[in-house]
Amino acid sequence: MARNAIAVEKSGPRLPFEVHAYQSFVVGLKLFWTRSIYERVAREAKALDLDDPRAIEREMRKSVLYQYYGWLEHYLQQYKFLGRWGLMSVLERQDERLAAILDEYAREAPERLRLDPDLQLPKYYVQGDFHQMPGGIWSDACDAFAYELGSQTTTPTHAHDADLHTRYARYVKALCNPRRILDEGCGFGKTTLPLKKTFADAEVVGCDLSEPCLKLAHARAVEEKLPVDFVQCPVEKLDFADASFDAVTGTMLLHELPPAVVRESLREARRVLKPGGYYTQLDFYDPPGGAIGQFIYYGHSERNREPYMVPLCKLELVKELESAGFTDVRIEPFEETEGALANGRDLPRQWRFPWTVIVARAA
Amino acid sequence: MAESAHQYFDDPAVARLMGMVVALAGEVFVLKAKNERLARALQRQNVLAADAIEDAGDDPELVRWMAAEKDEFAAALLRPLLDLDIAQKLRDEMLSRAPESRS
Repeated sequence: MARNAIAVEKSGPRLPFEVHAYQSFVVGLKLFWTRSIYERVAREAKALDLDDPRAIEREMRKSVLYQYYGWLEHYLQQYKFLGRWGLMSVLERQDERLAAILDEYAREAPERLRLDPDLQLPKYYVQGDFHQMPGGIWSDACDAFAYELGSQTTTPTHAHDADLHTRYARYVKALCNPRRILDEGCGFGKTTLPLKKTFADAEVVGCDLSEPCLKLAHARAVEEKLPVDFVQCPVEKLDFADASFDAVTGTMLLHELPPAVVRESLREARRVLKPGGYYTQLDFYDPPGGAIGQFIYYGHSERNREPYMVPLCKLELVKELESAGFTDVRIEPFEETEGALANGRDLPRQWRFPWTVIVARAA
Repeated sequence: MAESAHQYFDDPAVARLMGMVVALAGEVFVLKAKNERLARALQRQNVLAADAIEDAGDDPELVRWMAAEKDEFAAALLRPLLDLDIAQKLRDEMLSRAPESRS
């Protein structure tokens, strides 16, 4: 069935027809870039026959095609949010109404939303424009809604990527059967709600730093009649008792954290897990395709303003997890959509994130 | 669009031009989509004869719409040229190189 590039929930922003048309246009550009332009850039990079990603980058900067590739990768993300029909441009004008919607939901089942008005947001979180979203995702109601809508087109080849989060929830289900789950860096509940649907009998708690995102996650849970708790706290200082969870999960969290914070978060996850409990994160790690894969992915981190993507790839996660008190560490590629791993460890045929699942057990 | 610290093109003017081209293309796409939507709506309701658009003339509401729309459209198209920091830098450079005014 034909549908707009972005789907709008019942309660949320009012998007005029022009925004839908414009977002479709941006997605169209992104798809052409993901397939055709990426494929040609990869071919040019292979022809260089170099085995150092920095040397490939230096040579490729002379390529006219690569210059356009880089520009488009950087600016197409901004075009989603900015410009006349960009999500932030449109949603900022609705901020008051959107804040009222979130407050209304916050009054429903208030015991399930625990915010910390005294929380000092860490510098690493507030200093940059998260995913090139101007002003980040932590100050206004419109930030949360723009983040929710914008995330639908981050990976346009598997649009409406709820499927990704459901697949991850199923992966966790194949791993263990927890009674209490903590979903770290839950944002607007993109993984937390599929986890609750997959583990209907479990108590599911989401934590995040962003007040508007937590309020939106709570609103979505109330709408779907899913009893989920949301708590505002950093992953490096979890506001939960020792040994109080059977599983700690997360998606796309670790690459947003500086290495020192990753280490603290691992120790905290170990603290709140019961012995034998599962720690599992879906993130980006170990890009396939050798030096060209690294050249493509490291370049993305620079162009999309993701300062901790490369440092995460360079962290020896097995050692880090073991020294934080974990055992049975397993790190393996994750198939985010059917057939995504068809090329194995070779360079993917179209641009994709190096989705990886990290699993360990509390010793 | 916020300008990147990373320079993608050998000639930075190309980046500005790309900004204009994509903004323009975006507007054209929105317009095409709206036009298509309108045509389908009118066709479905059987309210529009083939020459009705030409015959419609410029009613005052349309004139007011055009006046507002042209400003919005021009701003969206040309905004990428307005990188004030770089413009200021170039201006300062030019002034510093300018010969002393003749007495």
